[in-house]
Amino acid sequence: MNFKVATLVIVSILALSLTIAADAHMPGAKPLPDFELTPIVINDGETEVEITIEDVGKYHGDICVCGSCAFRATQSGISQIWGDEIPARDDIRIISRLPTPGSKDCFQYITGTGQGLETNTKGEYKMILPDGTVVANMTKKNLKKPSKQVSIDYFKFDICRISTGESFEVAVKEQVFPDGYFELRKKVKFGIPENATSEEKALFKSDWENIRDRFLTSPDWQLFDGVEEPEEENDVAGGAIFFSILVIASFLLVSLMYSKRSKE
Amino acid sequence: MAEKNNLAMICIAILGVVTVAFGLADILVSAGGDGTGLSILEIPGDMFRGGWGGLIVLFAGLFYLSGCKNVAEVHNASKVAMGSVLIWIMAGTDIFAMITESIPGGEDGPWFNSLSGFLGTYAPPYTPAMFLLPFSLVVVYYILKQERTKSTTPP
Repeated sequence: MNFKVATLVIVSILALSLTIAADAHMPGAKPLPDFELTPIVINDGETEVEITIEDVGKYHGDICVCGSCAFRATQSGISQIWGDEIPARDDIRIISRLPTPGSKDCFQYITGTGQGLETNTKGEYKMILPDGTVVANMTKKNLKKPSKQVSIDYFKFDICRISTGESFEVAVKEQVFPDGYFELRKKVKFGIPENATSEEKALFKSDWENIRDRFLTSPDWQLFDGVEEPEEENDVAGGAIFFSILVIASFLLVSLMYSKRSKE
Repeated sequence: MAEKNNLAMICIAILGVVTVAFGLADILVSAGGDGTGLSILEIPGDMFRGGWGGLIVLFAGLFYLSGCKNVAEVHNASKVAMGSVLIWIMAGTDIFAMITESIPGGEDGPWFNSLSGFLGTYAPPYTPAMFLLPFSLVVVYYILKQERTKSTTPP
């Protein structure tokens, strides 16, 4: 009897550990790259709050593709709408098409609408799929079904300023994801249309790592549509020095030629 | 006089070695297909300016090296002058390209460039030939001065 109980306990522990591994974002993924992301600064009532990607990662359990994408999208959207102003948390509305736990936790953390978060004010966060379906129940279990269909069309987020009605759609560029990434994701994560081979799993892992690193290290204009590449600042001083040298040299050359000619 | 000639030989030889190195760098970078830039030096990567231009810079360096031994001798002096002329061709075209590029306002911009855009075109990085240009002028000035001294010195 004792042996049976012990076996049952061991099997349960093993099963639990497997669940944790499957739940974890990418078991065995390489460590995060060196990156520098400025925090999202918002006003939570009277207090100014700085939200870092690490805070979001801690809340979610890991810095994953969807979490880092959601963080960067929010950052980009806020800078497009508020510019240099600091937004009030209760003035932010985020409408996301992406039904994944990573992005949900990130947006809920920023808007203060997540479970276990104590904030003075709360923003708004909604999940509306590309077909128009509003996802009200955002539990992990409920997100699993729509998450299977995820494609580039789902990586779109509306960041809105409630007080003025301004809105900016942050859409991830197609080239951020390698070709066939979403089909591979379906195969590896959900076994659709069939289970993935070990090579496909390895490929997916490396793609996943690359995309996550891209979201952590690339500038906004390389990640999102509609964000313009900042113009390089002209080195006016350097150019002015060289231009002056050119003008002086040409003047000297011409005067040298004239003086010689007049001597002759 | 001999000491002065030795110093000139060393200076021209150093200039020759640097020019050959720049020429080879030009050719190798364009063979790789991608231009490369250090902070103030830019090595073009296209086949015409990088490959063909690199060959010209390389030959300029070879002219310097083959003429540096006794610059006082007219044949060697002409080789060194030839090397300088090759550098002037490359640097001249680069500067001309810079001037023409600085005037219009760009693809989607206005007809004429802004002042900052205009001056910004002349900002670093520069091509290797442009770095060699002042030295090539000094070398030719030295040769001309030497020839003048020779012609004024009574036999």
